[in-house]
Amino acid sequence: MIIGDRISTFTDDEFRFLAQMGIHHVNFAGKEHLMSEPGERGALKSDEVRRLQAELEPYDIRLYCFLLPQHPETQYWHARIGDPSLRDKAIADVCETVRVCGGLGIPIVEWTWYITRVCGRAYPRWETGRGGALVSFFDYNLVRDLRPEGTIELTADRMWENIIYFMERVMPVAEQAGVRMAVHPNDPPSPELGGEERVLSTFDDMKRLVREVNSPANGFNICQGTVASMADVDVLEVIRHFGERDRINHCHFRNVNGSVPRFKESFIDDGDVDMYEAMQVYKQVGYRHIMMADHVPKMDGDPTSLASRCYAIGYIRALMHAVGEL
Amino acid sequence: MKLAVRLDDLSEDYLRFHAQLGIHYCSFLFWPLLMSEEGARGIVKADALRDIQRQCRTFGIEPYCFLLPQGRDTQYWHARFGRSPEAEAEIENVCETIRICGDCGIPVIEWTWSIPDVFGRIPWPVNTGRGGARVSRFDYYLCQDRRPEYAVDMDADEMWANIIYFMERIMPVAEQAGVRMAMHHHDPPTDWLAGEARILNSFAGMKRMVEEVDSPANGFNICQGTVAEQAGSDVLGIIRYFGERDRINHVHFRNVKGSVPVFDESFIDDGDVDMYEAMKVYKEVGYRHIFIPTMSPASPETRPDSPRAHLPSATSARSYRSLSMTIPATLLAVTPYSPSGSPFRCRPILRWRPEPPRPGDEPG
Repeated sequence: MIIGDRISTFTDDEFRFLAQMGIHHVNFAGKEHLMSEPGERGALKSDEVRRLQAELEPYDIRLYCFLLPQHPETQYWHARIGDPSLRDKAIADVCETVRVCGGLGIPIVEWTWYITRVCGRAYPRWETGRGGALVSFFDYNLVRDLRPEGTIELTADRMWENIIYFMERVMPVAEQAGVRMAVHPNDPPSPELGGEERVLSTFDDMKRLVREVNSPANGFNICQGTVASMADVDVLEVIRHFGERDRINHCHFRNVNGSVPRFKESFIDDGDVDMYEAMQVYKQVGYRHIMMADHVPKMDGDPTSLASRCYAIGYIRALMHAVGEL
Repeated sequence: MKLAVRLDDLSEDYLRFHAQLGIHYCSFLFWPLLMSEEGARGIVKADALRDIQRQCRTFGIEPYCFLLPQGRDTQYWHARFGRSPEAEAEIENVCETIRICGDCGIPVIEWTWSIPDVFGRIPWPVNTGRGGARVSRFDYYLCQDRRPEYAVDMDADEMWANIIYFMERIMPVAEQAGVRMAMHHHDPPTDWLAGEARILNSFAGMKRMVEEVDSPANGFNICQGTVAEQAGSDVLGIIRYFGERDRINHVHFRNVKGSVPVFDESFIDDGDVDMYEAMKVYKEVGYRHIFIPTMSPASPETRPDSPRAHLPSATSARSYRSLSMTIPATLLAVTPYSPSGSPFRCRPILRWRPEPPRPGDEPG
């Protein structure tokens, strides 16, 4: 098990902060300057990544997980909506990106599969957590009828068809490239959102995903906050199930209060899941990739969420230490 | 066991930040607000103390441990030099302070006993912490020939005589008041510092202290960083020894690399002591007071790249509370937004409010 975090600003300050926090493995996303075509499209540029790796070397920080562009109209958008004329080019770009990652020693590629925006959170975006800290929340009843401009309504059958088509083409390339794919379950895990029937919003969905394309490269980013916010799910069972089958390739180790249709994100030690028990399960199943904090509450006096991030990183490291992983 | 921080500011935002961290106890100084005379002298004023309690409690934080004034010329400065009319008056003030704290429900009072105090830290932090972080360093060879102008020569016998007299006077009062005294043993724990024999720089010295005046009120603030700095010390053994005898009344839960004559303070998870093992010992011995991360008084600044800005690694295995015990060092990450550095020295600027939501924006 490895403690990790994400780099997002790509500045010396950020690198130094991570090094001082004892973070040596990071996740990074397909920002504009890293992609070969405008609009976060095309393939990951290997020369740019190499330059970044060289920049990170003095800090002893390794690029460990690459998050594919995830927003509408980016890299493989047309694969998600199943546009027959454009999806093969999009999938070719993803395959090339996976090869680039493999060639540069980046072992994990994270991806997402949705049409509505990533979090689907609707106004009001914030609710109060412990001590009045601001936390992100979701309430299906507030967004049920929203159909933002550009909404594309797709049935679950079509969504499955599209994702299977995508996985069938990407997974063999990943296997060959020595890369493991980590799909982020739908956040929020609402079975329907903005006209899209979500295909990764339940434990059964997740099981089906790895069954449909049974490849050692086909696994999950267990976003534990997302799993915990699924309706009627036993989080520890989900971790154990996929962990025992070696299908956990990345982990967002965070916590929530409640579950779909209504939940809020929480401090890592203030949610519904006993994080120590969860950590023990990862240990038992031999999970060996990154543990990272992902979203954190916004605290008073902490405009960049640095303190809040420190809190989560420290907590994760403490738990890893407690289970004998450090 | 209780999670706490040392609060040096009573502003609403600062208290709220700690409430958000899940902090329910604090240690505190607030000498300018609390002491009846200028220069952190006299007695604690009961009404001022109650006012601080009220402010903290509004945010669910209970003031738990008061640190007696410790610098030059403060409350019981002359008592450190032996008996004198000034010393007698000062000891009376300490006794009255203990009674007032007891009346107000402050269960623990921390105290120190030194003339040069924590003298001798390298005045600027060195970049030898993890990832080039700046840390406080002590190097005996750089300070062995230096001394502050107010320093005096005092051998071990005289030090012991003075401290024993002081303890004999105050411990019965503390017992009566229902207050436990928590002595912060010498930091840095050299044999000598600026002419002073450091009698509380080892397990032997610490043991002698509680034996000389054997009172249930007479215990330690186990400053774990300082224990680890002691040459050849067995940190876990020392915690166990005093813990089993119920003589730990306060804990500074921090870590260091090295020991006397040269050591660096370190990130809590990056020092010589396995903090998880240490935490397990506190749990085993039934320690029940507060844990705080501490700030070295010699650290001239706190920045985002200071170890103080960062976090814990050790946890007690099962309970969330004991787990979070190691976490409040996070609070110091807030200091980059303070114009003049450490929240321990000034009022941090904590006026920030999150921006209103924008359509389509996303967390993290």
